Amino acid sequence: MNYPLWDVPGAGLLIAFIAIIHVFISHFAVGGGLYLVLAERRARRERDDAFLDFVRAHSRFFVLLTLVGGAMTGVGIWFTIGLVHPAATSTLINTFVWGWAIEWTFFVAEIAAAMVYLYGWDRLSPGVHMAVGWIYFGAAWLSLAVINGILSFMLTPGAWLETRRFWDGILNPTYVPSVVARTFGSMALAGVYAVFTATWLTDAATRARIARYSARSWILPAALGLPLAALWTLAAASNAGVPVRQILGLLDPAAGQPVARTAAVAMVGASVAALLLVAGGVLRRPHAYGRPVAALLMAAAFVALGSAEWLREVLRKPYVIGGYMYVNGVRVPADAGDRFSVAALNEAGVLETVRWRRPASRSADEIDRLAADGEEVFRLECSSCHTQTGYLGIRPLVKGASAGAMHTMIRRLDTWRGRRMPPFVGTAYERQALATYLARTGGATREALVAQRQAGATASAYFEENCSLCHGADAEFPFDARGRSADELQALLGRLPEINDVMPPFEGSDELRRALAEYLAGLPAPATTEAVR
Amino acid sequence: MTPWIPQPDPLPLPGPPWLFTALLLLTFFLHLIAMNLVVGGTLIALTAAVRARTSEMARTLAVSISALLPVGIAGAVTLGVAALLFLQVLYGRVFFASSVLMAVWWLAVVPLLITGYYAAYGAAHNADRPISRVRNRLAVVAVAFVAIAVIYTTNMTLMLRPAEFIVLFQRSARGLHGNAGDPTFVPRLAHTLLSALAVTGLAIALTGLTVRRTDPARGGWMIRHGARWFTGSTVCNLAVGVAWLGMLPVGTVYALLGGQLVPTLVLAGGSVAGLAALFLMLGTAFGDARPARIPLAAGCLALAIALMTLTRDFVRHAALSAAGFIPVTWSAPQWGPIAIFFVLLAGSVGLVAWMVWQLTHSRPAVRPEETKAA
Repeated sequence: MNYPLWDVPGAGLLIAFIAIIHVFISHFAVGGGLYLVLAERRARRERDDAFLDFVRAHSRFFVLLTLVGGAMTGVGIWFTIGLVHPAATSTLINTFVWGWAIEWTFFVAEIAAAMVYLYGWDRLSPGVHMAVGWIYFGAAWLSLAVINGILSFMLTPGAWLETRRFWDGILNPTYVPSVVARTFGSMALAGVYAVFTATWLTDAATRARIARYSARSWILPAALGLPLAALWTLAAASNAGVPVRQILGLLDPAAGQPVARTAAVAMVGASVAALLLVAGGVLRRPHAYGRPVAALLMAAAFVALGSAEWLREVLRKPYVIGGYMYVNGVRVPADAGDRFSVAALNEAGVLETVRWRRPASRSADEIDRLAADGEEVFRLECSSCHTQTGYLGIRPLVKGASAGAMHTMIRRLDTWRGRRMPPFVGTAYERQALATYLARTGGATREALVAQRQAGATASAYFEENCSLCHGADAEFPFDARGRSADELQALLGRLPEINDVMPPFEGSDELRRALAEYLAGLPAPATTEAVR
Repeated sequence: MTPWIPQPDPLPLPGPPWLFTALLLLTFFLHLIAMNLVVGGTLIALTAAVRARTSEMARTLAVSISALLPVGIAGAVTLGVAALLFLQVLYGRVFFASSVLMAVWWLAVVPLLITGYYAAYGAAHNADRPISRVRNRLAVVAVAFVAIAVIYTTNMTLMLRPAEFIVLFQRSARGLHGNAGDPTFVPRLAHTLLSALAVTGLAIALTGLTVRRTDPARGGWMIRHGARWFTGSTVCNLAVGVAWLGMLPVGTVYALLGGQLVPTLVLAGGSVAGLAALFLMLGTAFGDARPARIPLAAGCLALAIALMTLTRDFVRHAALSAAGFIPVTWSAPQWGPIAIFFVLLAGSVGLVAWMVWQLTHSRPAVRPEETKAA
């Protein structure tokens, strides 16, 4: 909100697209470095010229891919987060510029070592050449270790939230397990890439040696360590306050985050597929496994790694920096002078505070003005995740909803049906404006919006505002009284959270509760089988 | 303060502002040298590749430069990353805002860089093939890197105009804005590209001095060829530099031309150093080669670039001050990480120096199959 908002649909997906490609290459850049130097040592020790020739060829592929594709997509992530999340990027820069600077010193050594290693095959003595390889791997791993500190900080900032100290931020609760997990991931990828490049070898015996070495010494050990490290990371995140089990739906599948569950399933499925390809394809036929098998293995590894990164991103929601900044750039702590904290924005209003606004509507019609202001509030608070009709499209989500129902949903946005959304910030007018915009987006007519504004605290208005989004006639769980009397329903209304903990308690007078019970008792039975009683 | 300048973060700077300024200037100066060699090298190699059918010297030059381009690009990007990091610490508020306004073009830097980088590897690895293969790949590198120069010039000039931000934003938030309407844009871009040609020209002449020891004819040709590129582009740059100065805000021009002592001395020093380099090379370019003058000219040019880097920083500072940009002075230095950074930097530079020394002081080994073939 402090910065102009780039009007691009699915900005988050843009980051994901570049990040996943980068991660797939950059982890290879770490594990592959170790693979090169260990494979070179083995080939030299065993005087295996064919193996050594493969390592030489593999190093050329390695440098071309990691120095160009890997390093440049790394720059690309930096560019993209600066465009999509400038406020968060600025916070990270102000907190970790020396972390990045330290990482840069490793990056310098890494780039130089990669080039010297590649160009030094015929110039350097074996000892010096392998020493350069070790320098490369050491620098690359240390680079990963530093960047992992910043990434894991974004999920679990830990004590930094209180102390704002550099080391508290870097060495956060998920730092160690995630650096272990990334190291195992790097090792696995080193083996997967080698299995892939080995398919270019024409000598079947050499290919078999490389395939066995890559699978047995790299992929399989990493496959044992990686799930354990991943579970360790999830446990550490859970201990640090991230509701991992709730998000993954381990306690109640219906209450889990659909995106997180999809990512988790994809991660596990792709990992299993990769292992089956290694066991059933590569190790079973090491002389003759084909390029399609190797390509499928690469694809499975890509999906597994990409899903893991995707899951990490989802676990972080609704924050971009856990407990400090929401995905829409609103800060949680009420620091003195900060105009973009929850408290300050609730006090002054979003439209009043944010300067990066489109010109205000001049319509004489109140509903039009409300909808226009609401659109602006939506753009500022919601568009970092929601598109109109694409990824997390808002239109299908609010289809058929009334302004009253939207008003209630907005009030409870941060706890809404287990979703992980930032709380609404702003004034009562802005909430009304957003509700009007969302209802109009969902298809509400102008007449219906006017009628809603004129409706008082009647039972039907209360139901419309507070219940209809889930239990309306066209909603997911339409209400069915099933012959219950008004008295029974009145009693049930008194203990809604006990019936289902995602339901908010009834908030109204005893008279209204009685009226609502009578209104519910008189509702016709729904036609669907998904009705709730 | 211009209301469109974003608010500072409620966090202190993690180091003293002077340290960030010093690191920004140092890393940018080094990036500038590397970037000049890459962009200028690409353009000169491309023209040499075009002339390669009629000139074996030109062919050799095109191939030699192409072989070095991947290393140069790695250096330019690595140093550029550091400069951009420190720029974001000091000027992030205006830099992020201008980047968002031209987001599509800014993001296009990444695919352009990847394309140019891979094309450079393609040119380097096709040295023993027909020259047309090198030429075509160099053309791709040239298009990519000139496009990146245009994009960078756009952002670096747009970020100095915070008062324009809201006008552009309200016109469109799709990130498609440019800054060609800024009167400083064209001379700044031209100055950048001409400087790249000049620096590379002098580097070619300097390399010619070494080549001359083993191959006098080629070394002499390189010295003359490089000197001509240097003098030609520097003469053009004199006119462009004056035009750029004339396009700056009146207050800035006044400060640079006597209104403020230090900026005036720095600009004057940079100009004198650049002119000195030009006069030192004129004889080499169009008369008898005077090898002893070339290293001296290179020293003068390096000094000119360093002083012009300071002038550029002053111009930025003046423009932002006029727009009401108030630098953040609240700092809580993270001395532990700062100390670690400098120790690691020294270690990293030492390691790189050792590795390069090992590579350059070793003899190419004869591979077993080559022995068998012999």
